[in-house]
Amino acid sequence: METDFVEDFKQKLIERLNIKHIDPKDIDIDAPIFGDGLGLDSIDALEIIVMLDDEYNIKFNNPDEAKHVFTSIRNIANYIETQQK
Amino acid sequence: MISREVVITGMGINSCLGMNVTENLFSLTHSLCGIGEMTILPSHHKNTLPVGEIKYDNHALGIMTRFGPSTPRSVLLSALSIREAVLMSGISTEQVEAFIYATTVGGIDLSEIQMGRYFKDEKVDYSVFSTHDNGRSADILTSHFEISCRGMTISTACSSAANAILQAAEQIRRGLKEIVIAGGADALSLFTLNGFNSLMILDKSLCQPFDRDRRGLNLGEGSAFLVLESKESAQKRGAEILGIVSGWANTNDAHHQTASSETGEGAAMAMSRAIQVAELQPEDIDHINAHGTGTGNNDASEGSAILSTFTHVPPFTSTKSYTGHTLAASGALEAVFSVISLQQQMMFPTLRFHHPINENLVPVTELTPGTLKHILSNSFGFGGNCTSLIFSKFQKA
Amino acid sequence: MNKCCYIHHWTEISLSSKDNKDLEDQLIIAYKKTSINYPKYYKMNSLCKLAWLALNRCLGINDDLDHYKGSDDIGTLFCNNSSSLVSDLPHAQVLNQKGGDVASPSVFVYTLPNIVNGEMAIYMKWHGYNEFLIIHEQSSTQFYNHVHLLFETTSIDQLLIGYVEVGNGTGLIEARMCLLDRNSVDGTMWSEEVAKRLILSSNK
Repeated sequence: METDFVEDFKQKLIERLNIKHIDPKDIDIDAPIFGDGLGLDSIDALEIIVMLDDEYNIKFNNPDEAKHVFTSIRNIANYIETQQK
Repeated sequence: MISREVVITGMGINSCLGMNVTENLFSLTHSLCGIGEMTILPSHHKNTLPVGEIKYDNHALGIMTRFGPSTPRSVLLSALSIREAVLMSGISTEQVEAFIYATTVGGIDLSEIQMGRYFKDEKVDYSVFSTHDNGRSADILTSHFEISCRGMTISTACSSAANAILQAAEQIRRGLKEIVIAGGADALSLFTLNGFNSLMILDKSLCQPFDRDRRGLNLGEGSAFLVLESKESAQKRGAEILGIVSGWANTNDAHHQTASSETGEGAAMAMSRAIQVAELQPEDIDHINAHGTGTGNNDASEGSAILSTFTHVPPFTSTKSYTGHTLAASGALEAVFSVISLQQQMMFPTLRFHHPINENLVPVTELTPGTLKHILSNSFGFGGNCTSLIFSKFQKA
Repeated sequence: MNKCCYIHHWTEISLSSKDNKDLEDQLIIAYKKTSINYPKYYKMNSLCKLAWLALNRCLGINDDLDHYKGSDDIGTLFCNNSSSLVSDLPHAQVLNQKGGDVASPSVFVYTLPNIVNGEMAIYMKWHGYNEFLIIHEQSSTQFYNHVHLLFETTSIDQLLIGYVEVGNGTGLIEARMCLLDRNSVDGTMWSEEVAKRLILSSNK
């Protein structure tokens, strides 16, 4: 089930990562986002790190820290929500 | 086909290690690292990111070079090192047939200040933008030094100056030019500092190239130039020959815009081809001045490339542990360090090294004398560009 | 010195753009028209996108693009007047808007002109010689000689040369590209005239 927050985050991600060519309906929020699925790469991972800092004030010290969070869109959104509590 | 020997008759350098060859040699020999606190660049990261900063502001550099106040920092640094190289070589600048310049920053250091004013609705000095272009720097310098030929500017990220030297060497080898000045400069700027920071490859402490626990690179600034000549030209005018540029190659890793492949395919190809151009075998290489930035990616990739190119890994070092990564200028700075190594028959240590990535990849960790005939220098840039140069000792007859 | 070599597959693209967004939209439409599936295209800045379109049109002219893939002996030499200005400006804007602390990595990555060479190398799996020159309109003689020098001095058999200019994303956007072949025996000869045609902006 997609909460408003997850949906809102998904939209923000699409804007930020320049993946407007993919239909939002086709983006599975539970699918792995790197590699074949959404085709995101290491630069996109860095862009997401910047986005989390910018919009949600969440900081990572290095890309490795972010690896276990950046699995699916839902996972990242949940992480943000828990950090903000 | 004409094939002339390409020799070096002059060199000039400035970096956080010093403002000329002698000062840089002193710092290298005494393990004096130049990376430290940012005191001139007005960045928010002043207290968190160490840099290899030259401790003269533009006002002081302007006085030293007799340039006006609105001169980009890279140009000021270049003017000093070109002057040193030309004086050392004994040529007059009228004799220079080509000027090959390398930079990525160009005049950004001045432009970005005006950009800041523009966005804050403050008064902007638009004249500053006339010095912004990379190519403009070469023009300013050829004009200043009364070099009659037009300059050429190469901008291939961190391999730029290495490519400038490569171009110069090619032109001399083929008998197209007799005397060429090649080199480059990059000054620190907010543009590059913040850009690199967003890629999370900067170390908040002093970098540790080739160390298992390395965390990233430190940015640096500087400039270096070589006067390159055909051996015939140098001998005809009785110039002292400092070294030979004997091999070179330029390849592409074809992997990622800013990261190197795991196997270092492009790097291995560049090293092998440079060795072929020099008509040598891998076992003839006595020392490698590695690209060795200190990032997780580069050092692992370059390490793999070294292991696959050499059955017996020659002693290698990263002088970026002293200077930081001077971006476009690094290939020229490290060319000068390679020539210094040949002259002194000395290899400089990789500072702050403790644990290897691989037991076969242990760099030089102390000032080490050696019988050095051929030194390989690597420069790898964003965009996958891999350039390797070989510098050889000149044997007087 | 100047051994003859011949150019092939001369390609020209030009379009007019109102602003950055308009340029991006036009480049996406052009991509879709190629029917090639290369999702990495979307990540590129407009300079790289334009180069990619020109490359496909140039080398794919006889439907044999694959013939050129995976080579170590094809070099790339690209040039323009404005370097990577189209990415430099947005990078500077982001820096200034965020108070000088934060940059966008995906924008910064493209603030170097030779990323064009890198992107083409990744797409075509090329490992050979690669170079990007920033040139003046008066550089045609120098450029002409430089190409000959590359053939004399490197092991490349073929050289893809291109002028790829998007400025700051507005106005006249153009690319001209062709393939030089050391081993071919006829066609249009590489000459100063051809060099001039390649690099001279139609704006002048």
